[in-house]
Amino acid sequence: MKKIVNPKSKGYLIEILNGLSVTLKHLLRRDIATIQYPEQRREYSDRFRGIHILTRRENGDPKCVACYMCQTVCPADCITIVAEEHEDPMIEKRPKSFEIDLMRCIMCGFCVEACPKEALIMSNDFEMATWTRDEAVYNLNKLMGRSKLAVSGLGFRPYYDEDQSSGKPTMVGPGPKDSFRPVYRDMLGRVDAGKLEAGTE
Amino acid sequence: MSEDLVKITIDGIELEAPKGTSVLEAARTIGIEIPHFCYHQDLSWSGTCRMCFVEVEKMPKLATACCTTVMPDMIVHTKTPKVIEARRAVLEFLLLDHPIDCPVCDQAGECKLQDYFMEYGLYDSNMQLDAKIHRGKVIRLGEHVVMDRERCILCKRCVRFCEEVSGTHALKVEYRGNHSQITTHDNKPIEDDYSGNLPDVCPVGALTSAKFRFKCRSWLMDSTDSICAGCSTGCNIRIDAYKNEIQRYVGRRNPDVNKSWLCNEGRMSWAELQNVNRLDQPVILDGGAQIPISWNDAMELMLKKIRKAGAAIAGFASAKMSNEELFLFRTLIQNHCGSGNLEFRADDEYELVEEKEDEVLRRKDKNPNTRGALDLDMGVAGRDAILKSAQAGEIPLLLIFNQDLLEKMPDAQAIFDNTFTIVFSPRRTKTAKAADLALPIAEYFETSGTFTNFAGIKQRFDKAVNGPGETREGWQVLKDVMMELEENITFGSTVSVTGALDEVLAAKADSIAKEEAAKQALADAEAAAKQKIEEAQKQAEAAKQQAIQQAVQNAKMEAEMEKEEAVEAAVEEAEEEFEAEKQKAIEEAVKKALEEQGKSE
Ligand code: SF4
Ligand code: SF4
Ligand code: SF4
Ligand code: SF4
Ligand code: FES
Repeated sequence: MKKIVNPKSKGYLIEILNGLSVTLKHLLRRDIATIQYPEQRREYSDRFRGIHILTRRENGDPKCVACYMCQTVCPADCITIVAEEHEDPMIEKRPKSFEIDLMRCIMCGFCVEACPKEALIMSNDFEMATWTRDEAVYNLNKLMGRSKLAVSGLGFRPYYDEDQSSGKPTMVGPGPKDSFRPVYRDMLGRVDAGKLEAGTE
Repeated sequence: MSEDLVKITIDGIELEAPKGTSVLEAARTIGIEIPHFCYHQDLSWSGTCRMCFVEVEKMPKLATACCTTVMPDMIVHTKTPKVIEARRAVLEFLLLDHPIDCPVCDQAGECKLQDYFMEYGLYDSNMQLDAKIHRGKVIRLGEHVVMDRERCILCKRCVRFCEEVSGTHALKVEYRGNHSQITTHDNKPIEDDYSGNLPDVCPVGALTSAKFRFKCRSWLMDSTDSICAGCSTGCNIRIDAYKNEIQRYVGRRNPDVNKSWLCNEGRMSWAELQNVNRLDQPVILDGGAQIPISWNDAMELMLKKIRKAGAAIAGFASAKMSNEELFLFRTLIQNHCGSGNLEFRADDEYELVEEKEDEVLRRKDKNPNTRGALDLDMGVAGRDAILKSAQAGEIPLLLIFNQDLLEKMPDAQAIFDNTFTIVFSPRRTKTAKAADLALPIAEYFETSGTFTNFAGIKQRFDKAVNGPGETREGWQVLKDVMMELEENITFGSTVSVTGALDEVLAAKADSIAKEEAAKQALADAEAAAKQKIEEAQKQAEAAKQQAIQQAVQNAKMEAEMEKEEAVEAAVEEAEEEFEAEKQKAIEEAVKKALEEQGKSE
């Protein structure tokens, strides 16, 4: 019988075997890259830029003073603020409405850097799929009451830690989770205790 | 060098400034801006803020540029280290108790404190945040002004405004030294018709506008130069708009018209004009109800009516229209029926065009362009004549432009019963509701053009926002109609209309001037002739008088001469007689003596 395979061209078989061996190796690996999302979740960096959070004052009002810095800096033009008078003259101004259109947002984090009041920070939450377009526009309530925070945790924010001796915020970078600035700790506490208005998200 | 000019040197640049100007003003003319708070072009000098320090050679200390007048051969330096350091120090003092609440301050973005801090300050504050003195925030001073005492730098611009411009003396400084603060007399609210200027006049965020408060940030808005249409004064304004919504009017400086000021009414006039009761699509009257139709159908209907009416159409314009609209409207009507059926005076307000309402700005004529309408001869027919001919059914088609006829002339209802009326109107006025066809046109801030103010100053305004719904700019509609009627016009923008209009006005002025010149020449000739006649008469009279005098004199002289002669003759005669008698007597005596001698012999 005449040989079908030219011995000179047998190289491709070797390549096939090579390839199969890679597949086999990964099949037997213990540390596979794929995880069982959503049951399993990845650990994200503390500087991850996920859905925004509006932080609160002690009485639960938004810290935001409607200064429009975030709206001004936003390159996607997706923040819309309407300001109103705050009854306390020492605060003077507050947002009547505050909307971020997450469909337009490019998650650049400029708004967080622009905010002079630490009122706008980001979370590690990236799950922003919605059934309707309207739901993707986050209003004041939705931005303040982020029920999934306990799961996802905080993301990009101007200050990560605080100098224990002076109590001043520092920008040293992500520290251990329990050294959050009180304002954040308080916020997470709220989420944990389920103190947020029902049905805000 | 003339008497009134002074030669000085600022930063090495030699210049001549009129006597009496301040160093700050002189520096401005060569483009050197000296930082200042209390100096304001239209207020008196006060020299309270000390921000304008400059170094003047041979002066022992720094001088305030705003209230140092120029002196001959003065040498000024505005940028020496000493000056820069002084500015920094002044700023630090002014900001000592400042709350640094720019994020919530409406002035942010147009605040001199911010600008100068970035330029000359940039120091770290020596003041502990909690050591700052609190003096009161959100203090409402009347309807238009909100005060924040912590931001005040006590420049007293506001106090001077109330003294010098509005004349109400509403504000004062109370207490002295570090306790000084601005307040109203007896804490009464400011009830000043010009109080809306106070937030503009305040260089920082101490006085902010109660009406504009928190509506928008200064840097987000688009600004357009425009003219207030509130009255015939025609104040220059800047319209600030955000997302096609007007946010505020701000006074724009024009030393010939309004300086830097606006009245409260004018300042707030946009609110109603922009949003209340707007007509936003063409409507046609059908059995008592107004049915919306498209612009295409509306135009077609209008053209049909105009073609059918021919020379019998009439036009009712208004003094709210721009010169360009007036001009196109006039051309449209005139090209059809001559100038006979044109009017703009629905009432007698036009007579008040120059009448003042108060001593500051306002005038009684609440229309912006009465002077322009008068200049263009828009008022010819007389409103009663139009009313009468409409009643008589002689006007099949009446075009009414931005004029609420029914509001001003209640008896005009007859027009609407007998005539097909086309009303161009920005809002649903009584007239627009009664119209057979109502067309939505733009307000003045939604279009461009010119208004001529009471003094004849023609001022341009530009489009600040788009009109609502399907509104169109009035001049464009008129232009389109005329183009459809195959009239020879090609205007691309209101600027080109203004050009054409200027030509017409210039021609009018020219013919008026020529007429005047001819009249003058005639009068001159007459006067010259009269003079000549008078002179001739005078001469004749003089000659006559002279002749008489001469004759009298001659006669007198003759008489005298005759008299003399007669006397002489008489004398001679008498003498002769006397001589003869003497001779005779002598002869007789001789004869007697001879006789006696003979006798005695
Ligand atoms: S993350 Fe960037 S794009 Fe998104 S809201 Fe902030 S500034 Fe705008
Ligand atoms: S920058 Fe911060 S304080 Fe200012 S409007 Fe945005 S969220 Fe509010
Ligand atoms: S309120 Fe404004 S204008 Fe008046 S003194 Fe203070 S800073 Fe000057
Ligand atoms: S004075 Fe007349 S033109 Fe000036 S702002 Fe007032 S209403 Fe307008
Ligand atoms: S501007 Fe000269 S002292 Fe204020």
